[in-house]
Amino acid sequence: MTLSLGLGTRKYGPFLLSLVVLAAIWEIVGRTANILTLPPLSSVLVAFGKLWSSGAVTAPLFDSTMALLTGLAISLTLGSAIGIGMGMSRVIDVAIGPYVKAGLSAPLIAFVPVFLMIFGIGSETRIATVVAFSIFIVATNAATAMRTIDDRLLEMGRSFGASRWAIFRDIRLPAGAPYFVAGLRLGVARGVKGLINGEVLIAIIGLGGLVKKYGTVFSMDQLYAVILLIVLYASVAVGGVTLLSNLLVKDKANTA
Amino acid sequence: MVAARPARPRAPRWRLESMADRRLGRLAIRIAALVLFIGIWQAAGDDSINLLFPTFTRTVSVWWDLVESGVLPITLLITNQTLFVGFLIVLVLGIPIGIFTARIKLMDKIVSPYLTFLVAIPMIAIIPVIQALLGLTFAARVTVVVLFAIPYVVINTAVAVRRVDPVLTEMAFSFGASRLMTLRDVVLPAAVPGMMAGIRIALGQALIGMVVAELTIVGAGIGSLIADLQGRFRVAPVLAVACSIVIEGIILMSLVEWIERRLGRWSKQ
Repeated sequence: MTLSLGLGTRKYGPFLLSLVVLAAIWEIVGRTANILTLPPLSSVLVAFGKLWSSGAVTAPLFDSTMALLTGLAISLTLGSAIGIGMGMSRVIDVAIGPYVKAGLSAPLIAFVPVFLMIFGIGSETRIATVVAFSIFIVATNAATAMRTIDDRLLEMGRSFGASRWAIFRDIRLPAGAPYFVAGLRLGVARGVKGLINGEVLIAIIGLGGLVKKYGTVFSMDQLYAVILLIVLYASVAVGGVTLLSNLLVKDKANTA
Repeated sequence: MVAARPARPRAPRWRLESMADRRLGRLAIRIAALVLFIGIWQAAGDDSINLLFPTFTRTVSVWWDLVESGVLPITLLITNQTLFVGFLIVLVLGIPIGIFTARIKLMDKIVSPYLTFLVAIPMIAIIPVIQALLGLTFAARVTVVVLFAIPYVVINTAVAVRRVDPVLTEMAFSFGASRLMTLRDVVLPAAVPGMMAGIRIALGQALIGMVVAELTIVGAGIGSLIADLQGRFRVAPVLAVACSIVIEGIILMSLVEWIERRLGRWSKQ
């Protein structure tokens, strides 16, 4: 116990120290310089506490989470289907592979204004942004999951007369599980970014809407409080799914 | 009576599947997919009102109007200045920070957690702060591009430098090479592939940053063009502008990938 604690301080000590120093500098500069753009840390934390307890963030938080989950559900089903198709059939891979690869790296955020005009300022725009950010990474990982399979296993399955479906379910899926899980994790990480990006650009709804609301009236301590909330939100989402994926993959490894 | 059929040695192969093995076949498949894609777009579009999703042909003709009038080239040029300056700063600052992070332990312990954190959070949330600090200026947009992209260059450079085979550096030391010489002649060439991977990812992020900066900290670039068209409820030109940016992004990413492959070959020699 003491040993691990000692290792922890040695590993994270300098970082924690720098964090404390930064917080102290923020507080001191914020108090003494009295700049509009940098309220002292303490007043940001107070604003955060007020925001949280007043319930002003409950509705946007719920709202954003629903949009995120809907978008992720679409990305996971559609993206996995596309990726499985690409991994199983060379023709599908050749036909749509270039689009998936382009979608993975192209700045699809440029389509947000188009979504905004077609879908309006409702949830659909956010959901579309979440899907655009996450679907291609899910598809790419699903395709890799299908391809990583050992050919000898496939050959054995076929020689024992297993049907295509049986081979898919009993050989390909378990073997590709780690890649599916990685796709899920990366998809969530990108999806959260898509959600907040979409909301800030729509500028009215959800957590991103709060950023715009406090940003435009220069209500800085509340703005920083919302940014803090978004950072926490992203960390919890990404951290949660990382934890979940670790559990899932370990589970698979144990049963295999 | 049904005779027992001998089990086929292999599952029957699709005839179509064998097409994917030939160059000409692949080309045919790609063209067919493109035609299908454009056909679906054309069928899904509706040109009766400006507010609906436009057809492919209308988008292309609107795009050509924007190009011919010179509006799109000029705004794209202005927007790309942000990307160019921002990405230059990312490279000039990011690579040295990455090298220092890898070589100096204390720096690594302090900087690395912040970087992991910066990668995980949606950077767009701090744009109002940048805007309040720097105003609606070129500098503000460049800052956004830098913040979006720099963590990826630093992290990947640090990882690449750290992964250089210690046998190589030890050999260099034992032949009397100085720290600087080892870094320049041994470590950096070996780290180039990893660094390039980081630069490629960072370019993708910088492109996102460029668009975000244009749309939120509106200047004379495509941001104002889109805002203007949006105000007049013209979906087709907005879609045309968006497609231009996406295609530009794809071209730039392919370019960097090509450089990455060339440098990868050079690094192995």
